[in-house]
Amino acid sequence: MNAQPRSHSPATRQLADAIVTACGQILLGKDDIVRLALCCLLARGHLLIEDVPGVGKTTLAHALARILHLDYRRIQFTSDLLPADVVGSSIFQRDQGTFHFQRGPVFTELLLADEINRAPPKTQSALLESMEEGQVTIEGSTHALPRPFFVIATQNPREQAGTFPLPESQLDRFLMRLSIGFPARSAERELLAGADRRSQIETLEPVLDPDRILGLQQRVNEVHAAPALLDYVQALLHASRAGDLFVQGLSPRAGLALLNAARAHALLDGRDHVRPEDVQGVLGPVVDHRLEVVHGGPEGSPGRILQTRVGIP
Amino acid sequence: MTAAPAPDETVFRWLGTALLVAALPHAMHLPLWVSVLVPGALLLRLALARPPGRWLLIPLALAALAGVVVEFRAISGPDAGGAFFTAMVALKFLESRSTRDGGLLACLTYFLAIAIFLYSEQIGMAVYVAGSLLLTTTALITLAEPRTTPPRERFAVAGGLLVQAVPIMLVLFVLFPRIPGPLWSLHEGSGAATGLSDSMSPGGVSELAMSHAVAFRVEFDDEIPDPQEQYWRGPVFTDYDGETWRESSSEDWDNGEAPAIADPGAPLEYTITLESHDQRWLFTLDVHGDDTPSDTGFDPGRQLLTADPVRRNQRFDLRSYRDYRLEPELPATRRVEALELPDDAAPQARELADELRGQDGDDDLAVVELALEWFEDSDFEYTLTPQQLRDDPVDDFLFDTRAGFCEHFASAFVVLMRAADIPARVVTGYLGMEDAGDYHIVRQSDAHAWAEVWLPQQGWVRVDPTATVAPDRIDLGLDSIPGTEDMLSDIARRDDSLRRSVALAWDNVNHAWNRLVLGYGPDLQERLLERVGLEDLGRYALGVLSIATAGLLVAGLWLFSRPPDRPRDRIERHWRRVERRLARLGHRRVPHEGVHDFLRRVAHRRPDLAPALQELAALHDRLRYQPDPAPTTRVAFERAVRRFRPRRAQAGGNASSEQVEGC
Repeated sequence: MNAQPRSHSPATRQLADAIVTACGQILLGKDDIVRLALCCLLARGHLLIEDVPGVGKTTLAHALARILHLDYRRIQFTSDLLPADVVGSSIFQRDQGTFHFQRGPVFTELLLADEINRAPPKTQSALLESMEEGQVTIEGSTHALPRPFFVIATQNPREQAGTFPLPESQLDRFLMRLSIGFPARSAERELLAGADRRSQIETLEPVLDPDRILGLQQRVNEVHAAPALLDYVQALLHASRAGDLFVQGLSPRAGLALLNAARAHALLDGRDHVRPEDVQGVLGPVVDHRLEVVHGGPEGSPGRILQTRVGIP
Repeated sequence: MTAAPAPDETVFRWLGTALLVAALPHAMHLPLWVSVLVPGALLLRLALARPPGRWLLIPLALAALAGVVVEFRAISGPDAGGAFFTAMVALKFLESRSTRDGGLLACLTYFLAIAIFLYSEQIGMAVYVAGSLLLTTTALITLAEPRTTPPRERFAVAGGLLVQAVPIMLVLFVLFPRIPGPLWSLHEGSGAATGLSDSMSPGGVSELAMSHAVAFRVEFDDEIPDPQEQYWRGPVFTDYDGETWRESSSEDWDNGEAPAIADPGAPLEYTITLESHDQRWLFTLDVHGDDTPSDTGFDPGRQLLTADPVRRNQRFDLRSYRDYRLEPELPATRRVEALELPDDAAPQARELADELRGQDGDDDLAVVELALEWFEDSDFEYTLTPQQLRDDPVDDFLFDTRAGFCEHFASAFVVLMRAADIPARVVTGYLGMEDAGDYHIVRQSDAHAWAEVWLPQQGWVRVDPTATVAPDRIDLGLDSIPGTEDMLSDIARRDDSLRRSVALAWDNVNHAWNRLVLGYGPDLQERLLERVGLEDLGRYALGVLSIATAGLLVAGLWLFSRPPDRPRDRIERHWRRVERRLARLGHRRVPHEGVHDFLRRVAHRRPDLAPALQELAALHDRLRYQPDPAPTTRVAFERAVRRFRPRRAQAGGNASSEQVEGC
């Protein structure tokens, strides 16, 4: 086989494997979820995890923070949470006679926004705006958020009473939506038989650091997307808009998100170019929360429907 | 629900033009006021750019209804119904405003366009209607896509649609069960009959000679008869009142029994395509055999008649005899009928007859020959423009003017024979024909009249006194007669002028149209189906077959018209070869499966192929998805594709049954 070494960067692939393996010790049997979460981080996107409690959302966030060596905070969203509780507020310093900006929990590198749909929309949008812009503006002064900045938000799809479901325009701000799901039988047995996962997290060795993450994020941008691949992405976007499959098609922002996620996916596979398989690998997580199948439409998730409708030439 | 937006006014201009074109040929049979109403309503609607109010529409509709009732005293029937329909279509146009109205108008226009076939089935009309359909289709496309495409493209689309409809039309035309006789016998009695008439008095045939209209066309199976044998038998006249000849009015005639022929010689077989003439006459070469075509029969003069008047061009397969004895036994009543002369008619001719009879006693044949000799010797002149005959037409002609044409000769000769106590009668029909390639044309200008005398044992014998006087008329045709050059048809001119060629070519087209399109009836259909081995199909099965075939054609066209799945470049063309080879082994790529996933899947099944597959995958990947592939990569890829000849896995291998997995 005469593949060129240039086309492969085994280093990133080994790195990804190392992270997934490390995380896999804590979150058993969920390697693909970990990989996608990593993808999301490298594509500078944010992650929404929609799942019932107790499947390991917090564990995942915590373990990732540890392995990636990121500063980690968690906000439990409640119905009385105010925007200031998230982004921070100006506090009068009596001794100095000036206002001093007290940073909120959002000033961190990895933020776990637990049960984001419990907070009122005003609070939600405060977080989402800072996610989008990477900065916080309070009373005229702008405060940049740390870089990298990665939000993992969770919401419980079952409990709807007293919640404020995120509107579609806000969902669009999350690059991916994942659900972890119950562990496989063997993984669950191991979980039951093994030691406490929380304490195990503390023993994890960091694999990356923020600087290297920023470097990898930069390399995602350099992953090559050939015309043939862009054709395929466009065909997917077009198929989501044309026809009568979905209530509304994918936005250009969604198209960019899809391409970026695919780039990150390729990079994590150790390549400098995107293949259709990369797009397909991230298609479901990227589009499932952005598309709604029309009433009486085909069965299955939007990503799956879209993928099977568009052939690769 | 909101109403669809009103279409652009251009749409109505298109629809109006299409409607006008479709309605134009109807002007030849519509009442004048309808012919005026149509363009009037169109112009009013287009000038207003919106429909006028009810105050105008309702009175107009009522007036049109009243007009039709007054004009035709009916509201149904082809003429009244057609006029009413046309008037209402015009008024519908006047009140049109929406897209829905436009669609309806297009449908009505289509109907109006084809309805003209009730009145004319000529090839020229068919071409006109095709143009009309094209225009209507273009208007319909304009309605669907106003202003988005230039008119030329819309015409092209309409033309494409019509061309696609042609195979379906042909299948339905050829296979759909044919109904015997005309589908609609709607316009009975319209239009004056042309051709011969059912009576003969001097002068009538002279006018016919001027008309070059086609009477019928003939195709001979084998032998073509000589000019002296080209007598086409038409109406036979027995009754004479001193001026006018008429067909036998004998009450004794029993329709069931034709005058018999004895000792027929070799038959001559041929097919004639008769132009509609609104008569029951069928023209046969001299005497037709007893095996008449269906729905035909003989009259007392053994003229072949159809059951119903011929109102559309029809084809008949015929079989005639040139040697025969017609009615060798003449019943007494028929003999009396064939000898009858008005008491005061032609006294001079009677004297001549006595004189001839006196010369040769009882021999009828000798008397006939003497009479012909007398004609020959008496300095008769053949002319198409004879003098007016006075008092007694026969005596006047025989002994005074001595100038005339076939009718005069035949009439005078028959009177002379009857005066000599020889049963005789006038036969009218056509003489001669024009060569038009594979077939011959007989025109109204070939109309002729001759005599038949009854001789013992021989029966009715044809005697043509015109031939005695002007033998060239028979041998060479009408153009041999001086002064008739200008009366010839273009084809009859025996020269090689362009005019003749064009006329001949046009007649060939017309004949083909008559024969193959208008003449395509149950008989021809049956013969055609026999040839392809479908003769045993019932009418019902045939109908189903034709519709099914047409349906398949539609489906085929639909499939065919889908954009072809062409490879977009060299890489893809080569890649498809790989796919085809793998597909033969049962490994098929799902359309949405990536090349890498696919090859990995195959490699998993066929580890023996894995190295080759990996190489192909890597090269394809480099060409397709990597930045700036080197030119050598393509060469390497194409070489790898050429080399890639996978074989079936060995027995016991694991490639036997593969399920296509999703990805």
